[in-house]
Amino acid sequence: MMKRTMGVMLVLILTAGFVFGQGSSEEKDTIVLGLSMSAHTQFLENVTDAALAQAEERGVEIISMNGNDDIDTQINDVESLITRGVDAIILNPLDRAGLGRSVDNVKAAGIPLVEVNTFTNNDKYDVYVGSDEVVAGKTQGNWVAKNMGESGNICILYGVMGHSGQIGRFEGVKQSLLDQYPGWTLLADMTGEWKRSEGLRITEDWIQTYGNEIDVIAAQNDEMALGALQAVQEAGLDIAVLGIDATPDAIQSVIDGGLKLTVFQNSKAQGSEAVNVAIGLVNGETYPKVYDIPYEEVTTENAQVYLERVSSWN
Amino acid sequence: MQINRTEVIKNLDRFKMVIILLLMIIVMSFASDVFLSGRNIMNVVRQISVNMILAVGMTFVIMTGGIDLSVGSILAVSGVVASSLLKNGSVDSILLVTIIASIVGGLLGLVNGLSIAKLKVPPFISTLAMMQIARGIAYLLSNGRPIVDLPKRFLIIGQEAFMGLPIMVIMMIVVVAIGYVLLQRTRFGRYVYYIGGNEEAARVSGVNVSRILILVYVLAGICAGFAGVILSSRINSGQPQAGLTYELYAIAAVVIGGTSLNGGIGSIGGTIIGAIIIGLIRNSMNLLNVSPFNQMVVLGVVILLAVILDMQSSKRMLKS
Amino acid sequence: MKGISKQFPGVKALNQVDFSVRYGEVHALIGENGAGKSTLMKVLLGMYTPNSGTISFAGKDVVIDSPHDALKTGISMIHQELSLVPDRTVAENIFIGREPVNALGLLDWKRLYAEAESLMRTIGMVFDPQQKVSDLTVSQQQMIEIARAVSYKSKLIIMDEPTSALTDKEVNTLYTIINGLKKEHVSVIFISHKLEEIFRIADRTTVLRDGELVGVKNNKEFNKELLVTMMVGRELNQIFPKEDVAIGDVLLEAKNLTRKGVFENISFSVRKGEILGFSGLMGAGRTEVMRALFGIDRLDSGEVFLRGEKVNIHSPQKAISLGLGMVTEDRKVEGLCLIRSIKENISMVTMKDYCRLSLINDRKETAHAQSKIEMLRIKTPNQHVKANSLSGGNQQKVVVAKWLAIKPGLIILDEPTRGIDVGAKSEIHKLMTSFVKEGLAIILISSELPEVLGMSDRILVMHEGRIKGEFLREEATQEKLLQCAMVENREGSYANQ
Repeated sequence: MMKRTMGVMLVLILTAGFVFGQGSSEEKDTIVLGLSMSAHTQFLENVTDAALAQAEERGVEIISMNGNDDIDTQINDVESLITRGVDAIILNPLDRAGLGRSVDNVKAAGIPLVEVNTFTNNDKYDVYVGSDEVVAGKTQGNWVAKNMGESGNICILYGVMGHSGQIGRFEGVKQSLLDQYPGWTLLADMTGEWKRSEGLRITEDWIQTYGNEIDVIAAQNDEMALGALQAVQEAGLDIAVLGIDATPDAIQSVIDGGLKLTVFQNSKAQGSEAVNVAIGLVNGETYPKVYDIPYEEVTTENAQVYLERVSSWN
Repeated sequence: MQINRTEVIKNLDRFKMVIILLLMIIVMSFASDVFLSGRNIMNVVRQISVNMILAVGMTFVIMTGGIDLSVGSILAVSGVVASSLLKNGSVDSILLVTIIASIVGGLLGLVNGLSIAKLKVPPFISTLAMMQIARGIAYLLSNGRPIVDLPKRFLIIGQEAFMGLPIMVIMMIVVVAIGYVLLQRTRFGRYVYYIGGNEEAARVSGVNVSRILILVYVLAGICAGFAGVILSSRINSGQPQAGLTYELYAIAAVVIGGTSLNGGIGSIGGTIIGAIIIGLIRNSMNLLNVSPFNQMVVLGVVILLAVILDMQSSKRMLKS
Repeated sequence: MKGISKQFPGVKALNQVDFSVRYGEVHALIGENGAGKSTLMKVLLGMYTPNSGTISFAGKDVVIDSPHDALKTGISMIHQELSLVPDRTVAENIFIGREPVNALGLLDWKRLYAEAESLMRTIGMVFDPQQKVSDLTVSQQQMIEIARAVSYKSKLIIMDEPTSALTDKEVNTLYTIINGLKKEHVSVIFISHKLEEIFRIADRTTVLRDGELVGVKNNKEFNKELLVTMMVGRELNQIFPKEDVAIGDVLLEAKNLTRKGVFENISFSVRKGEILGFSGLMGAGRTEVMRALFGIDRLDSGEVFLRGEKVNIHSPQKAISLGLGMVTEDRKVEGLCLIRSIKENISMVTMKDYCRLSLINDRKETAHAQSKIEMLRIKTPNQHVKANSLSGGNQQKVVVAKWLAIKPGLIILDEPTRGIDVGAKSEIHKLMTSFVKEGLAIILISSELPEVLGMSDRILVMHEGRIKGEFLREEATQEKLLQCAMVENREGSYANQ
């Protein structure tokens, strides 16, 4: 682990030295990509790792930055990538609207822009590599309709409000469940800010108010789902808890009979495909506007397979 | 006569927050029939444990007229340290891990204390820097990922109970009790009051001001470290982004509890009330299904009102 | 002001007080602390609303709701704590908030400086209007405050103990300025504790006691004894009750103490049972020497011997462990935790003695505080009230009390009676005598010549960081001390005398 961190830092330093020191005249044949990630979560770290690995394999330089959950930092990150004159930028926007201006700036500088995992409202980007958030929500909603009948009560744990995942995943649950089956009621909803501790705390409170009335808790990521599950188990209730992301922890929980469902979003594929697309754009190739990496449903039937796949990544 | 009146007002002010707390409880018991259920009460107590422990350390800091913005990040470091030690099996004993993680917190606090007391960097700046440094360390140590699959034994702290009381709540009560004795009953606590009341007078009177200041920040660090272990056990993982903005809840609890941001006035008792008020507000809003956005607004307004109330009463005391 | 009453819950702060000031008059307002002087002035300034009574100004009845109202009416106050912006110039401070602007709305510096200069000239001040206020002495800053009051075209200026921070020479300058104000038909209310200056500067005097008007008299009809009797309601036969006490061996000897740029080659010794006075102008370095001696500031060179042995006092802790005590110059800044209780303040120096294994023994601490409260006759309902609820004199006694607890061999008293009323002052003086009777040595710093002369066995005079002279009790006079303190005086020429 440590070695890789050191490696990444070394690459960063070397790249920075290369960009600032040599200018771009001498070794123009090496493509330099810029990667601006929004935050540190398990999922996004996987995307980052896959992107870095893919870049190494393809023999291109990559400058990796992280906004640490702060929109302003990320805007600055993008600015500095533009200033450094990278050949293409891969952007994982923290916020749909907040980075709209950055998209303009990148395009104004004539740099190809790939958005990964999340996309901005400003659609001037060249390609979006990722999975449709709405589909993730729909996967949860469909699972509920199929396994729990046409009526019941659902509680939703949101991610950070305004995040494209929060909006899209809710939209998916709404379209596939709430709009489709009038028997399903949205009993309560609250933001757990993607955090396990918050998922736990909020679910504890919900159980107090609604107790057995709750049939399903749909969490917008696995961390919150695991927190919710803990509260449910401590209260000794039978409530189906659903997550999204398929982290190893969550898949293990599915195997153990804890979570009923998690949704596999192929983080590795997002990271590596984003790099492939970026290199392709630099070389003049064209792609459809949305480059979809499909969502996959993880339940007791197939959990073991996914666990092996995901574990090999860490 | 004048003095008596001041005393009466002072006592009324001390009661003020208790009265607000009681009012909240009465209103909530009508608004939600589960509010007073044993289980919900236990939930609330558990939910406030981490903040309470942070707030106890913060009380000492604020009492000296300082501030510590780094406790949330220190909490994350210690949680990550404890989790990785347990996960890679280098330390077996839960007790030892708890001690090591608390010491790590204390060491980060020591850096705060040294830069504040010896290098005279303002507390706001020192701890702001530490907030960044510690958060970075937490990410570095964990590679940005939560550390999961912790040994089952570790979960005892956050998830088991002893004689009906959750272990983490017992630990919180112990910390509060130690904090109370330290502040109200020991020489160290008295020196903290002196420094907050008038640092120069304390120095001239032979109080080793810089040593006390360093100790205060070490104490806040230890509390954060200890809270980090508890939170990790509670959520069954060591999370590098744990404790984001927790420093603000801790500061809010201390301030609502009547501790003056100028130092010299306040008590652990007040902080207990403050932490309970914050915990109750957050719990109540969930019970009443208040929307996420409104929750933030309400919490902010409550903090503001508490500070305004506090300022009003001290103004009244000055005028009388 | 007529029939002014102000009732606080439980306290009658003012009871039917009449008070009047004539045009161009200097009117002294005097009374012990708590007599109602500040309350009366706060009513006049609109900070308090009186329960009854009326105020008329320049022949018209007025209602004053705030200090801002007062200013508009023509009343301003020079507070003891000055309210200048230290990093700005003299002119900016005078016209703060009302700076002249040019057609573009920008600050007109030329006019600002010119107006400031001409304003100061009318009341007899000569300052460079472009000088920074932080470069001025306290007394010069006070002058700026007065200039500001005049710039508001105030017809009445209240001065709250304006001379408490001034040396005698600076006081003279202040008098010149006040006389200048009188010529401009500006009236001055002069609040003071110093009887001499009231007789020198004031035309009439109003005496308050316990919220009641005791009397108003022309100063020509007055004498000191009568005034004091009116203030305290009892005869005061001797203000400085220093008795002769047998003087013992040398307790502390300082040799060539130097702190570069502050003081140089300070050597002196003090004996058991002796009161050693330090006299000199403000800023002569007396306080600085004592701070360094006590380990608060560092010494660059010099040696200190205690009972013949060389000691290295590098911190107040060390000084305390050697049996030194220090009542600092400003009790609010360095002496007391005003927001903490009297008990806590009294135990500040000696907490260790009431602790076992660091735990406080409350009974022991309380008993000790009680004994000191009784011993020094500190007037307080109980030991749990906050220090800021006490009068200045009682606060000072609390500071003394905390040092007595260590049973010191030497106690340094830096301006121990500044700003406290006559009764409390005399009690402090009695205490000093009783201390030396028990074999303590005292170093007394005081800017009040009668106090130094009355209390000291021996007097050292400092001037610009050096010791300029030494006088025995018998030979010292006010004139000699003053002359010694003012040799080669390089004080700024800010007044036309």
